[in-house]
Amino acid sequence: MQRLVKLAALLAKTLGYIGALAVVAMMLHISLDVILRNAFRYSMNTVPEIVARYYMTALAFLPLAWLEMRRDMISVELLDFALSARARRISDVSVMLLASVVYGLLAWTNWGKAMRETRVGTLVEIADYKMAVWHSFYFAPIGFTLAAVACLLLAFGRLFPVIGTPIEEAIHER
Amino acid sequence: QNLLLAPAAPGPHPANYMYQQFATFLEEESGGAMTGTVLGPEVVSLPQMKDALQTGLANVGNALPLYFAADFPQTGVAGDLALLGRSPHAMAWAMTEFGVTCAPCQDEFKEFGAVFLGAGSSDVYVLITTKPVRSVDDLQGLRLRSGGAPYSRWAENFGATPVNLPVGDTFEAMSQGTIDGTMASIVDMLSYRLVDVAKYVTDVPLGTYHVTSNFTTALDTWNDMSLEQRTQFVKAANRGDPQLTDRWGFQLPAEARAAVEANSDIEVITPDADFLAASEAFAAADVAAKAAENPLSADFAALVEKWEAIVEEVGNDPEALAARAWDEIWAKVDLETYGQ
Amino acid sequence: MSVEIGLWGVAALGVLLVLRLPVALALIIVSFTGIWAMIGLKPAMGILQNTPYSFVASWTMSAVPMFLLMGFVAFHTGMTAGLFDAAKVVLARLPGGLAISSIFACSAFASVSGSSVATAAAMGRIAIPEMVRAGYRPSIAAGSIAAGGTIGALIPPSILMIIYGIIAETSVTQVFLGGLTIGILTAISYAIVVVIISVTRPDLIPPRTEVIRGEGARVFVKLLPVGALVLLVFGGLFSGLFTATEAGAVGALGTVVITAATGKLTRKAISRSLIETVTTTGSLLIIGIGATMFTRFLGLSGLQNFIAQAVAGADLSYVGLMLIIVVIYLILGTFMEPFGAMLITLPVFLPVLGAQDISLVWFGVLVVKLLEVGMITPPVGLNVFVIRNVAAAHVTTVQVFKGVIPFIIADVFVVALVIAVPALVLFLPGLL
Ligand code: NA
Ligand code: NA
Repeated sequence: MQRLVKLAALLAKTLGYIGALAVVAMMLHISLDVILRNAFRYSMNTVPEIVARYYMTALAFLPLAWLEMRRDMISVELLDFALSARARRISDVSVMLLASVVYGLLAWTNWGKAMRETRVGTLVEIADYKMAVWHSFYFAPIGFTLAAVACLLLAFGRLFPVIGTPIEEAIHER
Repeated sequence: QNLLLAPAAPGPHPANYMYQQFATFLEEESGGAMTGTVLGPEVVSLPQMKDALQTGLANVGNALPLYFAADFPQTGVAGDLALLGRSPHAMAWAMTEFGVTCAPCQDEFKEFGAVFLGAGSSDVYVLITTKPVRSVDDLQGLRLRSGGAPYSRWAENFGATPVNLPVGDTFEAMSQGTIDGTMASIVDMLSYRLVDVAKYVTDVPLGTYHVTSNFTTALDTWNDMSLEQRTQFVKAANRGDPQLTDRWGFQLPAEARAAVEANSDIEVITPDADFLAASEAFAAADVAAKAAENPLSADFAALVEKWEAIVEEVGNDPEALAARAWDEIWAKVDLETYGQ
Repeated sequence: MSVEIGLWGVAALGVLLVLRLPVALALIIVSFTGIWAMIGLKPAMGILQNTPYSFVASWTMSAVPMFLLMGFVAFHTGMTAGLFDAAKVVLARLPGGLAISSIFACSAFASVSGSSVATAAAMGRIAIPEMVRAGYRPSIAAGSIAAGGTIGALIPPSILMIIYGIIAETSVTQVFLGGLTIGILTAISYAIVVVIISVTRPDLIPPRTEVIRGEGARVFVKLLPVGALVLLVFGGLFSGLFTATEAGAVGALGTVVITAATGKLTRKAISRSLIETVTTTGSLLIIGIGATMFTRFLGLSGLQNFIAQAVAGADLSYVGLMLIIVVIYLILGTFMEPFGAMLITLPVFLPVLGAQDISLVWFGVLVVKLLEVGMITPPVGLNVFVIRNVAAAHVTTVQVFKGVIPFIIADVFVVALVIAVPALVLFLPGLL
C-alpha cells in the first residue's frame, strides 16, 4: 500500500517536471522563431498553434496532481486562524473529497472529448499545411484523472498517516 | 419555445447583427411561438461551438466549417475556391445551395450533430499594408498575413511570404513591423483597428470568405420541431442568411471605406493594369486547378456562376434575394427528411 | 434568463470561499450547479468538457508563463538585486523609499509586459523579501506590489486595452496614450499612499531605510545586466523584432544567456525558477478556467439585461451614469476575470455612451483601470493570488488583501479624478 501511494506521488512529481519541460520548450521554440524570422526572414508558421495546443496544455494540466500534493492551490484562507486542529482536519478532508469529485467529473468529460477529437482527427489548417492536433486533447483528462486520485489520497492521508507520510516523503525528497 | 442562439461574436460583429435580425424574423415567421435569446461570445465562442451544439448549451450557432476542418473536409472544398469570389451575395447563395445539395456535406453536418441552414459571405478581400504595393514587383519579399490556403498560394505566386497569425494579433504585428500587411476584408480596418497602423490599401480583388454555416441547428432541436415549425424556422433562417452578407459585404465595407478616405495617413492604391491582369490570371488558374482536383469543387464553381447571374438580375436587396433563394433552394427541399 | 440564479451563484461563491474551498474549485462548482439549474445537466457537463482546453490552449496566454519565468530567473540569479541597491541610493531618502522604488520599477516593467499578473509576479519575487528585510510589515509590502502590478495593464503595451479597442471599435493607439497617463497617475498616487503610511504609521513602513553610502558608482555597475535585459526586451519590442506575446520568451532566454555569461546561472537557480513558474502558472490557469466557467454561467443567467435595466432607468446625469458604471465594474471585478467582464458589459454600456457624447477612448482607459482594481479586490483577485504564491514565506492571502486596502482607496481617488477631469486622460491622445 505504502509503496503504491509513493509511486502515485512520484508519478505526480514526474508529470510536474514534464510541465517544466514544456516551459523550456516554449521559451526555446518561440525564441528560435523570432531569431529565424529576423535573421533569415524565415517563419515557422506552426509556432502559435504548437505553443497554444501542446506546451500550454501540458503546462496547465499535467502538473495538477503535483500542485495539489504540494498544497499550491490558492484559497482565501479567511477562517483558517479560527479553526481548531480537529475542525481544520475535518474541513481539509471534506474539501479534498469534494475536489476529488470535481476533478473526477472534469476527467470523465474530458476523456470523452479527447476520444471524440481523436475519432474526428482534429486538425488545424496553417497556410497550405494541415497539422493534426487531436493528441493535445489528452493532457487535460490525464491531468484531471491523476488530480482526482491525488485528492482522494490526500483526503485519506489527512486521516491515516500510513497514506499521508509517503506522499509527504515523495514530494519533498530531492 | 425559446431557443438559445449563439453567434459567437460581440455586438458590432456582422454575425451578431445577423442573429439579432434572425431573432426578429423567427418571432415574425412563427407568429411569436418561437423566440430566441442571443448569447454573447463569453458564453459560447467559436472554438466551443461544436460542444455547445452537441450538449445543448446552444440550440442554434454560427459554426465555421473551416474552423472544424477535420469535421468538414468536403464542405471545406468550397473554401479552396476562395479566389473565385467577386460578388459577396453570389458566393453566399452558392455556398448555401452547395451545403444543402451536396450529399457528403450533409453527412458531415449530421456527424457534427447539426443541420445546415445557409451561409453568408464577406466582401472581396484586398491588400492592407504598411508599404506601398502598386505593381507585382512591390509584392516581392513582403510578409502578409493569410487567412487561408488560397490566399497563401496567391501571395507565394507573387513572391510574398504568407504568415499564419491569429487574426487578433494583426494589429500588433503590423504596428511592430513583424508583418508588412494582411490579405483581408477592408472591414478589418475598423473591426481590428488596422486603420491606426495601415498606410496603404491596394484594391486588387483577392477573394471572399464564404464557408460559413450561419444558423447551424443542433440535431436534437431540429428533431423536436414539427414540420410546421421547421418551415417557419427555415423561412426565418433563409431571411437571416443574406443579412450577414449585407452587413459584412456591403454596410461595413462602406463604413470602412469612409473611414479610410477620411484618414490622410492611408493611401488607396488602384493597382496598374498588368498587376490586375496577373492577379486575375493566377486566380483563374488556381480555381481551374482546384476544380479539376475534386468534382465537388467543380459543382461549387458552377453554382457560383449560376448565382452571379441571379444576383445580377435581382440586385443586392437581402429580402428580395431571400425570396428568390426560397424558390431556387428551399422550396425543393423536403423538410420532413432534411438533415436526418 | 434567470438573473436570480446568477445572483444566488455569486452569493454561493462567497460562502464556498469562506468554507475554505480553493478558489478554482468554488468557481467550478457554482458554475456547474448554476448552469444545471438553469438549462440542464447536459449543458453543464458540456461546460466542464470544453472550457478547460479552450481557455488554456491560447497563444496570447503563453505570455504569462514566459514573463513569470523571466522574473523568477532574474530573481534567483541575483540579477535584480542590483536594481534595488541602485533604487535605494536614489530613493531611500524618501519616506518608504523602497516601496516607492518598487512601484516605479513596476511601472518600468509595465512598459515591456502586457499583463498585470506577470508584472506583479516578476516584481513581487524581487521586491517583497527586500522590503520585509528592511522592516516593512509583510502585508503592506505585498499589497504595494499586488497593486503596483496593475500598472502593467495600464501603461502600454496592454492586452486588455487592445481587446477593448477591438470590441469598442476605437483607436488602440489613443487608448494606449490615455493609459500612459492613468498609469503614471496611479504610480504617483500609490507613492503618495506609501509616504502617508510611512509618516503616520512607522510600524507598517519604516520611515527611512538605511542609506548605502560610498557605493555610488559600484551600485550602478550592478545595473548593467538588468540594463541589457531592458534594452533587449524594450528595444526589440519597439523596433518590431517581436510582439508583446513573444517578448516574454525572448526576455526569459535573454535573462538565461546574460546570467550565464556573468557566471550567476546555477543549476539550483534554474530548477527553482522552473518549479516556481510551473506552480504559479498552474495555480493561476486553473483559477482562470473556473473564472471562465463562471463568466459563461453569468452570461447565461442574463446578467447583461439586468445591467442594461440598471443603466436605462430614467435619464441619468453624467455623474449619475458614471457612478452606476463604477459601482457595476467594482462589483463585477470582485469575482470576475477582466476579459469576461468586458464582454458582458461593453455591449450594454457603449450605446449609452454614444447618447451622452462620451469619448470611447476615455471610457476605455476608465474601464481598464476599474477592471484592474478588480484584480486586487477580494474574494477573487488574481494579482493578490499571484503575490501570495511568490511570497508564500511572508504572507497569507488575507494579509495581502489587507495590504492592498490603502492602494484601493488611492484607486478610488484616481477614478474620481479621471471622471471629474476627463481632459487629463484625453490630453495625450488629443496631441496625436
Ligand atoms: Na504594459
Ligand atoms: Na477581485
